[in-house]
Amino acid sequence: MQIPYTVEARRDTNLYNAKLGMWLFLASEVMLFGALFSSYVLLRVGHPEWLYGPDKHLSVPLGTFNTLVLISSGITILLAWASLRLNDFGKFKLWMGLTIALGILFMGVKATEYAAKFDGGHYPHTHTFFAVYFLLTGLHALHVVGGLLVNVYLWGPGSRMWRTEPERFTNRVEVAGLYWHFVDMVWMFLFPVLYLL
Amino acid sequence: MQTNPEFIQREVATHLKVFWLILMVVATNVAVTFLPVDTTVRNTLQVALAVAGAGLVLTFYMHLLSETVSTYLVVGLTAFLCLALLALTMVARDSVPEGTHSTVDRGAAAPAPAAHVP
Repeated sequence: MQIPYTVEARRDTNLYNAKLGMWLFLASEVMLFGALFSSYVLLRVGHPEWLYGPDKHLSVPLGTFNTLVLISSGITILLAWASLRLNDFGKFKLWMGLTIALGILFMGVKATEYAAKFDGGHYPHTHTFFAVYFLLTGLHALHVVGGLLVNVYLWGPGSRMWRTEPERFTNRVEVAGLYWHFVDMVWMFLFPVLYLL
Repeated sequence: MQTNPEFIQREVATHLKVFWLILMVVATNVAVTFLPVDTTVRNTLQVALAVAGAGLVLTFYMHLLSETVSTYLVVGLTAFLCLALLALTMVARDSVPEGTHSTVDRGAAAPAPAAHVP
């Protein structure tokens, strides 16, 4: 049986199903991160000795660099999608490959930061700040890994669909892009909240 | 979805401009950290800049500007519920359940810990 509305939009929603599904999924994700941000506010406001500045042992230059990496991956995935719309599959491979490379670089920098924390004896149980830091950044990193797996699939074996159903494949890349931008957006809150404030 | 090459090229050009704008927002946010101003002012400014950056991603990269009513409904309801959750947290932050106490009052008038009854 053919799956309906993978390419054409439904008349009632004006969206193809995968896109509406992704927006609904992202809505649930907003509530998940929203609840954790609420917990962060509550813990920070109520804590008698919250950590500030150098006491947090976080590297602002590294955090800034990682932010730039993730923002750059946001534009490269957009360019990958635009390449497909312009029927340029070669460029899609290039931009999607770059998106994956930037995602891996982000995870590499994150791993370096985690290693530095552990070497310095800073674990989630050490202080409430570190518990919040590891929970929020860890959950975000899991989301990055999830996005990377999808992007690698679309770049590799999944890209075969381009030969048979190019429009459907383009839509898949668009939906993967929506998710990747959401991950980007969450980091844009995490970076100032954890590193700068 | 628009497939006109000129339209797509224009869209890409806009996205590139937004990319530089987001970079500037992030750079400003880092620079604000070193401003010699009151902590409350600085924190408010930094949260506002984070919201601005995220707003740019949402409106341009996620194409919220050109989305349909059903998307606006999903995003609007989510934003309302998320803000309500944050507001509830702030309103109820001092309403700790019976048997617990706020760590803020620990130094002043903290009740003695309840004896453990086996």
